[in-house]
Amino acid sequence: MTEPALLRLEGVHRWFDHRRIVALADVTVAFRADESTALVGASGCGKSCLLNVAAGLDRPDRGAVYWKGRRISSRAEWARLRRAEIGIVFQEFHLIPTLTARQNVELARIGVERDGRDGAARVDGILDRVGLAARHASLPGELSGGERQRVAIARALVREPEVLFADEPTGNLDSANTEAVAALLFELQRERRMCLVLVTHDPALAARCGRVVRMSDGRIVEDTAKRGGAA
Amino acid sequence: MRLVTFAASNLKRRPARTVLTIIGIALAIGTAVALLALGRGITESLSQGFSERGSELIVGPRGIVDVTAMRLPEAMAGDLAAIEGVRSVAAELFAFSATGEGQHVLVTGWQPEAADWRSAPLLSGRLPAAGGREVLLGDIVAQTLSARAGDVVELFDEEFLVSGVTGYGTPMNRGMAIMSLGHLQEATFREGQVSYFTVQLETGIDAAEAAAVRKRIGDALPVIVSDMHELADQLQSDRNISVLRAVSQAISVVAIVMGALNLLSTLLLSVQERTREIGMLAAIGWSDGQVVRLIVLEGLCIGLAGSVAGVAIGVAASHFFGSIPSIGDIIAFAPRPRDILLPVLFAVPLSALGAAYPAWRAVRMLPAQALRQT
Repeated sequence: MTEPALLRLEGVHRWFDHRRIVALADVTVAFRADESTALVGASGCGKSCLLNVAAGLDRPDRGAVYWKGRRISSRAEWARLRRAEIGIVFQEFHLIPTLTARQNVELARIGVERDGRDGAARVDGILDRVGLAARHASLPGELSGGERQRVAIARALVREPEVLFADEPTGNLDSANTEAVAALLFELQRERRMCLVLVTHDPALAARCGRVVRMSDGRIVEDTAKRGGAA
Repeated sequence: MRLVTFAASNLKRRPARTVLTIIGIALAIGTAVALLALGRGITESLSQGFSERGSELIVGPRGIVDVTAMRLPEAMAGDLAAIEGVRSVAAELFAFSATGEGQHVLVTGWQPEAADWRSAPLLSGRLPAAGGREVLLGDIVAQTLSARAGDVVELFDEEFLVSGVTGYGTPMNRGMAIMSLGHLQEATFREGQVSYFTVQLETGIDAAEAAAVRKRIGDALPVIVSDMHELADQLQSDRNISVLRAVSQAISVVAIVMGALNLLSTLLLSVQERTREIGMLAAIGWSDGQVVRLIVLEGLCIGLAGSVAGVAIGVAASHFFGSIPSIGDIIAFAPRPRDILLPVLFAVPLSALGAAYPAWRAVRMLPAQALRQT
């Protein structure tokens, strides 16, 4: 039986430059728990824009986004969702250079809860899980690209979200690190039965996902489920 | 990690800029502390000076708002002395004189029979001889004029022999030249006039009796009677002192507002540089309120650090100014807690306010827009 959608975009349009640039055109798509989806397509086809709208980082010009059937529109609602239910990893790691790996992860927990011991245990646990327990005190400048992306993944997952969006997570990594980070992402997705949505240009990475959504000129032109994944 | 740790870490990223901003605020607070101490120091110095000489009550003209314009007829001394409960009355005249060295000295004239002559603490020399054109110098004035007992100094364009040097403890008295009332009246064309009377009451009378004597004086003569505390309060409304205080306060406000504008510009630049980072914070679930709190906290950290440094600068500047003879001669230049607290209480909320605009700019963008910024 098909899982109910966690996140659903319905009739979403996004324009830029006074409608001269169409980033998304009437996009309707749903993302479910325990599902890995690759968003693929040529550069500028609207993949990242779709991810931004789905994560509430951008606002649709028309259409709506629903979380578990409830329409989400205000900044505050989106912030609450990203604080609890949605994790995001970017191609550029966006780590704070003056904070240690551990402190960068802790950033995502500031203001989330008051139980410091529980919070500290979660941070330790996720750093251990991404293989950075020994390097928790290192500054980003002292870490390799792969390690930095692991810190970013730990930061996105420390709140145990139901959805993880990853925008070209291996785009800045060499092949060895690409493989390591990709393996980590899929392991975590399976362990936590998360919804993983990947934007990627890498066919090998896309092939590891249960579902591939292909975009062109702001539209979804193909939505294929594999190995029993939801389409 | 706490928000304040993150705020401190952000400030450390550009240490030179942060330190310069702190210095800007510190100078503003220091200026305000020193100026407020100056405004209050003048009035306190006068009342402390009278207290040191054992004056109990000061009798001056009613309705005067300019202390340098106080005038009473010298003959009123007899009327005051005749009032029941009054033990002694001394008339005093004061005026400022230019010296041969181009400095200004406070000169006071005492009646020959005044008890103050006998209690004057002489460091060197002797009291002025009766009828001679002689003067006693406070130790700071003597130092300023490089004069010792036996030297001649120029006051009111006339030469006076320095008969001795006094060793009072308060700035007003240490910075004062004392001559006979007659000579000062002659030199200032105020024959028969005095500035005020100092009155001492009969010994052993209680507070109720003292109040009754004061009332009798006020009923009998068109004067105002003040003890030392009341004198300090009354001097607050003196026109010259009010003008000085208003100018001090205006300069203080301008200095602090400039410090806050400096902070605003620093935080604006910092927020602009960190636009993508602020987008990232939104992406990992920070609310607009959290981002605003972070930036306001950064502003408050700078404001507080600037205030602490500013208080130190203000106190140090006050001591420095107090050591300059032309200022320290007249004014007790020591900031009180109120002089320190006022600028700090004004500057710290202003720092938060200065941070509010950059904070608002930081959160008005959509996270995706912020993340796209180069």
